Amino acid sequence: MRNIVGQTPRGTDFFKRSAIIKKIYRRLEAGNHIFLSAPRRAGKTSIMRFLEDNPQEGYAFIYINTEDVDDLEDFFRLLSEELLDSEAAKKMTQLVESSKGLFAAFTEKITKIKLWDLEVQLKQGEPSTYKDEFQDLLKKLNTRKFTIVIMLDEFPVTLEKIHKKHGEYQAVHFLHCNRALRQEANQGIQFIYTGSIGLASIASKLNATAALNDLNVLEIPPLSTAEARRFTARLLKAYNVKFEDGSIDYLLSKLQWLMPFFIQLVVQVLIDEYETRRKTIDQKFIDQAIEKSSTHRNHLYFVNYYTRLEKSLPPEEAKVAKKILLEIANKTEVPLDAFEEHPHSRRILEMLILDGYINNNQNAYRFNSPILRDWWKKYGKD
Amino acid sequence: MARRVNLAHLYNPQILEKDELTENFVVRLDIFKRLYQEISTVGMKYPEQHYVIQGNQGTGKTTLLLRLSYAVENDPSLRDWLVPIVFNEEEYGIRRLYKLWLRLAELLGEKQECFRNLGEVMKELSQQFPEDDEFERAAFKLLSDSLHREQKKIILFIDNFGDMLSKFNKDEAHRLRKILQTSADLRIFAASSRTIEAFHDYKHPFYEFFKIEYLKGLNHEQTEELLLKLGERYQLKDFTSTLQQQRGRIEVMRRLTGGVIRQMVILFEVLVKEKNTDAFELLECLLDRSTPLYKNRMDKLPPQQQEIVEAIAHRWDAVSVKEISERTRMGSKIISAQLNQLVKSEVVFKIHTTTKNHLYRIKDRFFNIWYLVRLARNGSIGRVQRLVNFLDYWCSRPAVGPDSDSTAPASADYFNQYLPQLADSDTALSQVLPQLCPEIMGLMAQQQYPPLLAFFNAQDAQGRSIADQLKPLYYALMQERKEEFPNEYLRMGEELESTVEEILVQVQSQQARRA
Repeated sequence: MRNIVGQTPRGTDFFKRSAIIKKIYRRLEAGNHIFLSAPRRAGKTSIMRFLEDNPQEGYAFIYINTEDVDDLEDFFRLLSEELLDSEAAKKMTQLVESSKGLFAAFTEKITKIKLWDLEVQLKQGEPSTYKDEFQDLLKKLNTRKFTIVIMLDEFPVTLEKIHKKHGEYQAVHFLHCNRALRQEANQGIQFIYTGSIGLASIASKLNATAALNDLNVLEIPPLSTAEARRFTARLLKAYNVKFEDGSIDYLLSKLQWLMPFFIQLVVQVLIDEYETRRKTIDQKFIDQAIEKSSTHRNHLYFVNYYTRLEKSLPPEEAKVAKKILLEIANKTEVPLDAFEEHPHSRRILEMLILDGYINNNQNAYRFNSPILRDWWKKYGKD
Repeated sequence: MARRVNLAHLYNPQILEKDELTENFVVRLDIFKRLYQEISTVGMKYPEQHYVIQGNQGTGKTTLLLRLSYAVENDPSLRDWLVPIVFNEEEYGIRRLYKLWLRLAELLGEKQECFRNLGEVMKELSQQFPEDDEFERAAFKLLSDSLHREQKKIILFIDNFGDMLSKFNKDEAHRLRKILQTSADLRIFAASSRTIEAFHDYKHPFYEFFKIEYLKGLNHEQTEELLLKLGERYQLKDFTSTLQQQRGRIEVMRRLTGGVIRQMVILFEVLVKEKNTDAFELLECLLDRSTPLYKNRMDKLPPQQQEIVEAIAHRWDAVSVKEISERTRMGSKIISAQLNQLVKSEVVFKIHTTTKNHLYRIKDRFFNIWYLVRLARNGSIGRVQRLVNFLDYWCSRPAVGPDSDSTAPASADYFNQYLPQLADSDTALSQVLPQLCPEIMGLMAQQQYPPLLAFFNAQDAQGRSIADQLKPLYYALMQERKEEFPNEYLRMGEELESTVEEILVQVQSQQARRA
């Protein structure tokens, strides 16, 4: 198992998160369309890739990244091509005789749309659209024998791009088309949407939250302590790093916020330090590595938490956000009603939770990461 | 017979023959092996981990990329299916994503017969797609289909990746990320001399997407190893003894240059030619060789930024906006705006303090020294000379045993006796250090701070700050007293870090002995 950063870990590099995977299947079995919600680098894509690579009996998953799409028709073109090219389609044609004809007809129609686009001189009458053909196919496919799950990664980026390029009306239309697609598709066709920016907040700005209310929101939680223990041990062993008994638990107690990416960052520092010092990892070693990660390389990482507030929020709100964070950092925990007098505090707090700064578990606001909290206490002054 | 030492390739490792570069590749073996294993043990079944190697100029990034590409080329288990393509530092023309595919197709065609026409076919394709983004998609599809047809994959080695990436617009960045995340046809090993802002920008598609390998400066052992191997490579018989004699001075140069390989290779050349050079002369040789690079860096800055850089460099240690304003007479708003630019372009490094007033220092510490020696006036050379003298003493001193613990009286007056000597000449410092340095460390070990603080706050007869003359000792004290002075130790430049650390270790061991 390699310490993969940024790229999606696949195969033996993926650390299986059984609890969340079971949860996804349970929601799918109940007939839900899902929105996977988590901050960036929480492992959304790798979980989807795992589902695609290792489907349970009776399921086929199609992973589609839509982040380079900025147009409704282009979105459905991508979905059509990916579906035709997928293992799910192959599996279906093997299992369900009638689907062969459906896919063949669909291929023909798609080819016609492509040719219509390319060969201007042949244009006669109104062309069909990828959207209509795709919707039509999903209505007709017989999915009694298994479920096809279409997983759309970076969907909010596409929505933002359509908004930027074609305006508000088209963006809202795009959301409604997707809703219609979900509602009109056959029962065995389900969707998982996800993305690294908040879909709900974009929809809210567009006054179109109703177009999402059929989606079942599933949060990807941090690893449990047991999972984090196994994950850390596997990473360290893969790089032949020696560690004392109990040192991993000590590390996890220091980190508290057990997001895989956050663990990976610190583990990478441990691996690098181990390679330089060749000394078995113990508590002192961990203290030094954490001190190092908050003062050197990851200093930048923490500074970014600070500066990105200015990029994400209007100046006045960024100021309020900084005030709120400094107060939480100084007091360690702050009651949920403490910031009500601040203007826009609800929206700001939602954003701080979604982007991974703080949580509101146990009826109080706290920093997710005590390392970030310490940094904030020291350097988070405006 | 000794071979002629020719280091003309220092700034252009690409011009070296494959065998010569491989033969010269004597340090950074750990990271090379690790990355090569990463390349050679995976079959690229899935989209693979992409890497960026980050390090200051002269730390060996280009050489490492080339070494990796040659290793792939020479590996029989890889070369049949994996094609290494090197984009050199001068690929300025790639401003759009489609141009990356066009250039890649050309290079692929030059490299492998089966792709000979790919570049031409791709260019023809551009006629069919008037929109850039449509052409880009078609071009990548053509590239991908061609690779599948030939059952090949590509490993791209891209230098100055940050520059290339910054030219792509956000849509192109999203598109490239999607390709890198979903296509198993190509893999990137890139290099950058500066921090790529996008990698740490939460809103950017490439936020924490690449795995970053940091190339640090060489440590003491690696420097000696490099110099020894260069001596062997050029068959210099008596070089080992030169190395022995100059060990302390070599270490001084390593600390001042940050262990940058390029500087260490120049140092090798100087040591071969000038066997009995003193530490400051060695430094001047290194500075002379850096002049074209640094002069160009300074000349390229707009006038206001030049003035700010001069003010910071003149101070040497980190300064606040207020201090810059006092020297330049510019308004603090203008300074802050220019500082933002300078931090972004990595000329200046920003240090967060516990107050609202942050500190700023020149990022490339050797550039700062170059400024003080070559451009600044008013005794700046003397300030550098005194640090060199201190380091020369420190790095060449015999191992200190328990008997040498100092017993200086804890009185401010006692230290005043040194003031006339310190004012005497730049070289006088070397004479007083063997006595003064252990005495100061002794008092630190006894935690007798007030007389030391008074001494460091004093000035010699020529009005020069004692703290500035004994920088490593001063910053060791500030580090020790950081509860009382939480921001002062943050002013310290990186060139002092290891010396200060050693001083503190020695102070602590004295304390342990006393306890």
